[in-house]
Amino acid sequence: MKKLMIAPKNKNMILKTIDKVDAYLLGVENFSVNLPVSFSLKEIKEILPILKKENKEIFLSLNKNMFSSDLEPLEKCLEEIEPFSIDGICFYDVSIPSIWKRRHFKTPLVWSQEHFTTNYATSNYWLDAGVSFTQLSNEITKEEIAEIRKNTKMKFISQVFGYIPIFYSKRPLVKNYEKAFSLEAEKEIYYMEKEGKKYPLREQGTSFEGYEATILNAYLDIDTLEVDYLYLNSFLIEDDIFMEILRCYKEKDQASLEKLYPFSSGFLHTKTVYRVKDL
Amino acid sequence: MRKPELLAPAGDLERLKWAIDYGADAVYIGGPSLGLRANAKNFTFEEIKEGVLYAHERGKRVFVTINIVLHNKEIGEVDSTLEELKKIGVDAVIVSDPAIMKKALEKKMEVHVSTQQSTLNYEACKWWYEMGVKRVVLGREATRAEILEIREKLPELEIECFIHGAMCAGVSGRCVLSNFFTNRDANRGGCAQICRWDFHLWDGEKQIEGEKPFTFCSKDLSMLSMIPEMIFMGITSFKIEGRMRSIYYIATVLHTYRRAIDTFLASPSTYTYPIEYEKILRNCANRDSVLQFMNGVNDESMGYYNGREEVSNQDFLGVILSYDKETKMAVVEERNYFELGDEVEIFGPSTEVFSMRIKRIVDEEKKEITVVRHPKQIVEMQVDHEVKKNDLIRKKILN
Repeated sequence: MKKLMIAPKNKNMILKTIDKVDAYLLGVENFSVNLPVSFSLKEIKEILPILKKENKEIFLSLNKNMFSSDLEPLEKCLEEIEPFSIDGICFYDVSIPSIWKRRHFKTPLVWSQEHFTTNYATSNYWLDAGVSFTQLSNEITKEEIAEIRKNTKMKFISQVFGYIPIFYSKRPLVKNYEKAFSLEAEKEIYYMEKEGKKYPLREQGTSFEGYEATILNAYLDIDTLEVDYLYLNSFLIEDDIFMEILRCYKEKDQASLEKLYPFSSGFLHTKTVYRVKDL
Repeated sequence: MRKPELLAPAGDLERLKWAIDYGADAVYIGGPSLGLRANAKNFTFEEIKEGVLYAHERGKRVFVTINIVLHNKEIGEVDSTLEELKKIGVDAVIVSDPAIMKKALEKKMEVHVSTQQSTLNYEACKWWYEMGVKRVVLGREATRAEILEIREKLPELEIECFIHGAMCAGVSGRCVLSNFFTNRDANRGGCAQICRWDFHLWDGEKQIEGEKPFTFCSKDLSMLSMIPEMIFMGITSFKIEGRMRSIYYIATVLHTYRRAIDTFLASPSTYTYPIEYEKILRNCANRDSVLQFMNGVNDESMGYYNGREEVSNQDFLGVILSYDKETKMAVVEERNYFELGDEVEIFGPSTEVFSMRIKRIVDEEKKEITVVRHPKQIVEMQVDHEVKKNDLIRKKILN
């Protein structure tokens, strides 16, 4: 039985979804990217008893690239998380398994190098290093996922709904553009348009995220997708609509879901190519 | 003070030889598969063998990039590729995937962690070091603070930093724009450089319009002005970006950095920054360059917001094929239009830059001519200063 995992936007959404969701993926203040929101450890501590009481799984994502100046607060954060007894810490930067190993932490790790999680050999490398889960890349096919599954003992998380992160930069690209032309806009969310499609952008300080214009809605594949967790991202989806989408996924209400968003399977059925001659 | 390695890109065997001749201590190349420049010519194993031989005979080293983001179907190729490279005797492999690193280390090969891993701190470096890797190519976002801390805490680990060339707008490995815009896989060598496209920018329903369109496009990197400081920081290897760049670009950039490094090391106390070299570098790439992240600057000066279009460089005029000391005539293969009276500069691996005015040109039938306008046309040109085979002629840049 596959579990439903969501990245919620706020505490209220957690409370409202608790009867529909098996696992929560939460961002952690100062250490997360590509998630709807980041919670402080204090907020997470407050939510934990509620989720534990309901037997919900909790994953914290510390998935940004870490600079040297991040290491001390990062280690402190991991130290604070350790007694939470949560189900997993998602990492992108290798400093996390490095600290985890040195400090003999026990919280399970999730290999979450978003576009690199594409094959079973590397999954097995991280499995041997003590990592328990892989959050799979959105750029691989369903057949590749099945083959990965067949060849490793990891548990797998795969995004099936929501905006897909496709770009991350440490450059404040919108702010820099505005400064270059003396424009005045101080928002966090923007869109860039090409050929009629609008791609969401989020800029927070020097953290710049870009997302695919088409919302992933891989409902038609969920029964045959060989993963353990089906992940739905609420980023930029209106609360009520997201609740309804979640209900549709939970209750397998295909007809209602289709009315909300067209089905879209990303690269699950499309191989990317890398040689121009193969196009 | 440690002498840093000057590491150059080479897209094919010809460029490898040019890079070695123009002062590279080591070159990095792509093998027949599993690299990140799928649309470059790349090397066959036979060519790698020839390249390694050429480099080793001259005391230089060759690294091969195996930095593709692996998919299942390539797993079977890894072993045989590494085996072949080991047999050939390449000096190291540059790898981003730890499963490949592990295989290479089991085969007792030297492993360098690719910049694709965006390593920016000593804990991550420690992970790779304890695994057995010899060198980490740091992420392009690394600042002085990161480099110094890594150097201090892991003195045995070799550190490689980019000093020159194009920059990704995104964090390496975290950009798949190309996949979603063109179906070409950015992390498997298919990058279509979407970051250089123009876009309309929207704030909700309101379009934000500057004088030029919105783009992610980044200026190039040039660390020329920081060479002494980078040497003091103890960086092992200075890397030049650009496996798809031309011979002229590689030769010019290497010639410039080689001289800056060697001049500084020969006499640090009397070294003065060769500011005129900036012009040479700017002209040859035809793009602006800045220090990027090194000094902690992260503002609009790092990007291109001027709607620029890429135009090819016309400075490169020709290659010297041979020189007759008695007649003082050089046989030249043309690359761009030149004519009698043009002021040009000539430089080469052991030829310091000098300038001259073209005063005599003859064609292959020894007929006097005034212009050379056909690509790869062979002519003879009077050069009073002794020059050598493979010296290059360019338009006059220096004052």
